[in-house]
Amino acid sequence: MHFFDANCGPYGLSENNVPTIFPTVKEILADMDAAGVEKTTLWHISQKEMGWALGNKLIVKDLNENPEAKKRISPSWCVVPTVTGEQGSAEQVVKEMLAANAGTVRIFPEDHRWELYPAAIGDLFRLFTENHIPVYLSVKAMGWDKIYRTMYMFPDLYVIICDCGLWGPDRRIRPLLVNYKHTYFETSEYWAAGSIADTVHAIGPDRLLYGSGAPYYNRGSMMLAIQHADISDEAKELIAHGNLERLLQH
Amino acid sequence: MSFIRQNSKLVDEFWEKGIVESCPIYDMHGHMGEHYAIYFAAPNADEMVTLMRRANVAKLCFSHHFSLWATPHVGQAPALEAARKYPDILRFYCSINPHYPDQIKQDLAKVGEWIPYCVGLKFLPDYHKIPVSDPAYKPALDFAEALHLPILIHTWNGSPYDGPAVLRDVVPHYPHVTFMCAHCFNNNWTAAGELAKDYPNVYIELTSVPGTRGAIEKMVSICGSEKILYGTDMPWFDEHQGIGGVLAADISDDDIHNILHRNAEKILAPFL
Ligand SMILES: [Zn+2]
Repeated sequence: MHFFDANCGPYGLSENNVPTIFPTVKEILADMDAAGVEKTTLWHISQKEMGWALGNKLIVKDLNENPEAKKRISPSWCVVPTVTGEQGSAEQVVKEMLAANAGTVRIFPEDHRWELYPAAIGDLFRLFTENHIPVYLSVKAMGWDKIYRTMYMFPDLYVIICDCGLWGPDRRIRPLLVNYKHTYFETSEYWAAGSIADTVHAIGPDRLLYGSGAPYYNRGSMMLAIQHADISDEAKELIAHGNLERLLQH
Repeated sequence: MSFIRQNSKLVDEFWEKGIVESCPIYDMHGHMGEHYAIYFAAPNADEMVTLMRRANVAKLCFSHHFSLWATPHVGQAPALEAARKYPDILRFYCSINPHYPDQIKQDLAKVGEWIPYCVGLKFLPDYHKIPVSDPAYKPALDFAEALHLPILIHTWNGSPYDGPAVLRDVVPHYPHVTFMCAHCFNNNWTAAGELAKDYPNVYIELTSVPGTRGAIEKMVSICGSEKILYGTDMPWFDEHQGIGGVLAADISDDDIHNILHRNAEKILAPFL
């Protein structure tokens, strides 16, 4: 058994110096070692606060300077609509992110002032779909309605729904899992009693991803919930790491 | 390499087996029954007990959702029925809904005969929107004081109904009530630790806290693990998620034993 964390971040020094527990990737690696987590995806606070240009540059630089981090951390890439030309064409964006070994995409439409509609992001989402590149959709940041609209407009997009909130979200997440085959769901706030087993029995083990929600949450609580869920060992392996590894093969 | 935390035999044993015989689980904060806003995989006694046996839960003390909110329709009947069906594992709190004073009177008159199935009272001031200091709660508080009963109170930071300031007003008047502050005044861990440190009859209860980085460590450093109780809001939250969150905290194995069972065993001793 090993664990690949599908929801870690942000790290780095924010404008308010919060959070401070993961100022660099060194602290992240130490925290992963303390919990026995082998790999993680990650995003940098500057991707949100300072924008895609500086944020993407900082995370790539940090990983390039630390060989162990480069091996164990899969960076997320921040994008904005290509129509302004600031980030280059959609093809260039995908080429650059793959060259940087970025496996997933983080978006901040609210903060970066753009709209999640085909007119704005359709070209990029089409290429992400063709290349099987998953996009994080945070419930905490955008709310369920926006996530539903996004899936309605981009039904084949690969997405990782994260930060679902602590009140059992099954009435909201399950229709998405059933109707959109590329929807995945991470566990950092999926705390309801017996829910992991219930979802696995209802729709199979392929769509759940272990996520810790670090740094806000520690990594261990959902590890134990997965380890002792009433599901097969194969299902546990898929949730702990297998599904995310498959997803990142692009 | 271990999982969750390094260098703890207790953590390793929980990881391997999911249960540790020498460390039974006393869950001091549960519920039961359907809830309008949530689909539960395990809403009722049968499914809850099945899940809890997988985690070696020795006792779950719960208040039934219907007793808390549909008070005039059901009273405490569904809770009593479940506790009678599974007396080895279930105990209930008599739910106090301050909007129904007659129901409170009727229920309190029966608490004596419901013991040991009933182990105390449950207040939910933030949801019922009446402060614990309001006269509406006085009959229940006086009753608990006279019988030396525990009360599990929902507490939340900044709440005018059950925030730290409100509890500081109420607690000194009831020295024989064991106050269990649910959710540890989420998320004012300092105020929670200090209240528990200042009053011997105040405990803080962890529902929705385990997993939150640094919270348990902070409270242990203020009031000691002897004043902290484990809870999950079962079926809201999973036992192994909660246990994992306690195991992940940077505290000693002895602290973990205190939190997961020893403190609760002392409080529940008169009822077991
Ligand atoms: Zn509760």
